[in-house]
Amino acid sequence: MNGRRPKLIICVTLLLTVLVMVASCAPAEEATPEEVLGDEEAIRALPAGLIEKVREEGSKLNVYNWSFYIDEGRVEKFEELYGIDVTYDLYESNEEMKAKIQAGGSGYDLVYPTQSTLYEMIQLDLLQPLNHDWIPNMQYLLPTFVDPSYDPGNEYSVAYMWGTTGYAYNTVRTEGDPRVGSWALMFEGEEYSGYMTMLDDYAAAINAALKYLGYSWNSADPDELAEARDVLLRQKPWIRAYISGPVREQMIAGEVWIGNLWSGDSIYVSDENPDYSYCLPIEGGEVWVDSMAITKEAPHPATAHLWINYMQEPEVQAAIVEYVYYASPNKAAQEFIPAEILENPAIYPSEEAIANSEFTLPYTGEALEIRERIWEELKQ
Amino acid sequence: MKDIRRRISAFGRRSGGQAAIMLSPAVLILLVFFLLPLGFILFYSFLTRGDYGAILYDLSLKNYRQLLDPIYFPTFIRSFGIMLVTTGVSLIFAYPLAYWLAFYAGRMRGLLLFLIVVPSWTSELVRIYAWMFLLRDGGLVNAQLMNLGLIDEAIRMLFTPSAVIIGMVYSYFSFMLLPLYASLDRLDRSVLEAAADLGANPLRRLIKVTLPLTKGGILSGTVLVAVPAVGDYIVPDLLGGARVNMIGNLIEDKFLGFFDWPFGSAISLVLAAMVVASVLIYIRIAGKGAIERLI
Repeated sequence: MNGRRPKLIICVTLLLTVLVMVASCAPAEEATPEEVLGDEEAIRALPAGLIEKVREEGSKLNVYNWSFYIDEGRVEKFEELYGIDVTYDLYESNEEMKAKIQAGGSGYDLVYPTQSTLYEMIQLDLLQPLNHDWIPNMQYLLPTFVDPSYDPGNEYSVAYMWGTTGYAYNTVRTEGDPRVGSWALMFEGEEYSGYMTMLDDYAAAINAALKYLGYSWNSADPDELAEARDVLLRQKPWIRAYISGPVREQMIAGEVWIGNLWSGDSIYVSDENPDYSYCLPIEGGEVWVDSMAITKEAPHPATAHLWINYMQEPEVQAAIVEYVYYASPNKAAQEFIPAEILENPAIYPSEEAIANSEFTLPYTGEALEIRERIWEELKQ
Repeated sequence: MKDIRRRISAFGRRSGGQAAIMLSPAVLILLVFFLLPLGFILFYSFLTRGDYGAILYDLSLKNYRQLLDPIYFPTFIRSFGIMLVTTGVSLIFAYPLAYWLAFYAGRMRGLLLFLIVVPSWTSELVRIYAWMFLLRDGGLVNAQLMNLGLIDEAIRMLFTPSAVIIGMVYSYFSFMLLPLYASLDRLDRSVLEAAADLGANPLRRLIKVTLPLTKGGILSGTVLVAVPAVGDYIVPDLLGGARVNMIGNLIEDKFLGFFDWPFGSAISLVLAAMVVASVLIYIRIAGKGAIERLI
């Protein structure tokens, strides 16, 4: 009797383990025949041969995207339209996503890396080249996102949503200041001493100083970087804090007047305190972009192409913009986007400022070492 | 006779086996969660950073040599300075409170100790965030001071070194208080009575009797506050505004900002070595049983 109990426990444990394993595999086997049909008209409009490949792959797709980064109705719409069964998972950071793909066996077809992570993933051979014939909607991309520095020839990626890094400022406190709209407000604004903050991010802070001086955001020139260092050291006594996300609360309370900030956070500030506005300085700042890319080991690459193309439909892009409040890289989408969004400088900055802006790429060699040194000097 | 000897040795064997079984979870935890990661860090500290956060397996001592660069000295000096001030301020505030709790709190002491410990059940990050709201220009502290008419204009507290000290003292206060309370509670009251009978005034009793007899608690509290304080990075980041680095921020920057895991590992190990050295000095001063008192 005494001997039997442990055996029973072991049996139950084993049974439970098997059940859990079976259960975790199960959903992949569902999908009723009716669902697989999709909308005939939409399917007829597809590039030749694509839908056959999609059906061969089993009409399934595993998407791995940032949280709060899509109008979820669009996922259902895609499933209905083409008869696809989509598994949609979320991540919170580029590092998290990259680590999962790097580990292998994730089963994800599609990921949404930011350009510097995308660049690294291309170097690490984690992505597969796109078949541009299957993505006719790439024709709508704004020039900034065609043949970009991080992915020449768009070999691996199609832009999804983008934003900028500039500064948010209190329009009342800076009223009449001619330097508003330029980095000069932050790097010459001694009278705002104690009411300014810089991002606690070495690339954002150092590269802003480079732009103020009229140099490239990604400069690797030691002399240009030395000038940027002097500008930052001169500015340091005026800076209340090097702070990223949490500065939002300080701005809403009106205690920080000018803050180097990401466009998305700045929208949040303006919503809570209408005195605040955002500017991408005229000298240019950073444009960042999250793109759609297909993993090397994607089980359903053709279906992933179908998804990328659908997400680049102008109406679909417009609907997502209205939902996530980031800018679309799709030119044709603009006619479907409400004017208040197109006119909001935190979402769509001036074309001149964008033309002067650059993408941040991962730094190596001297470009990294000098930046590291400047950051150490600034914070020692 | 033989039988007894056999039985004794059998007992000895069994108890040895039992001890091994009883200790194995602790040994396993130490091995997996402490020694193994420490081994990784030690190994990494001799490697080299590659591009895009990669690690190159070129063994060298250059990470340790790099730490001798004077640019890092202020960071180390500042960390130890803030640690000393934090520990000192904690001791000055905690000793009278612990004394009162041990001698005068009566039946309330259990409840009061509980109330002091309760906040530490919440994440440090959340509590430090709360301090950001308390300390800011329009925060509760400034508003109250203005209400009371003590100040006309908000004092800038947030993002100053004082805010860092306040945050640190707050974070580690109970680590100082509890050992002090324990040693004061154990203090033999008859010794104090004897001192009084022999004509010692209260101040003399405190200096000559109470303080020396609670030396163990003071030293334990000092170590328990100083060790985490010197490596803290949340408080200087959020309350200090990241204007200046402590060692913890430097390590964080190297790991997460510049993806230089090898150099970050080397700094971590040097910090750990300094902490271990300090604890060894503590054991020297505090004598036998010092480790037990820490726990």
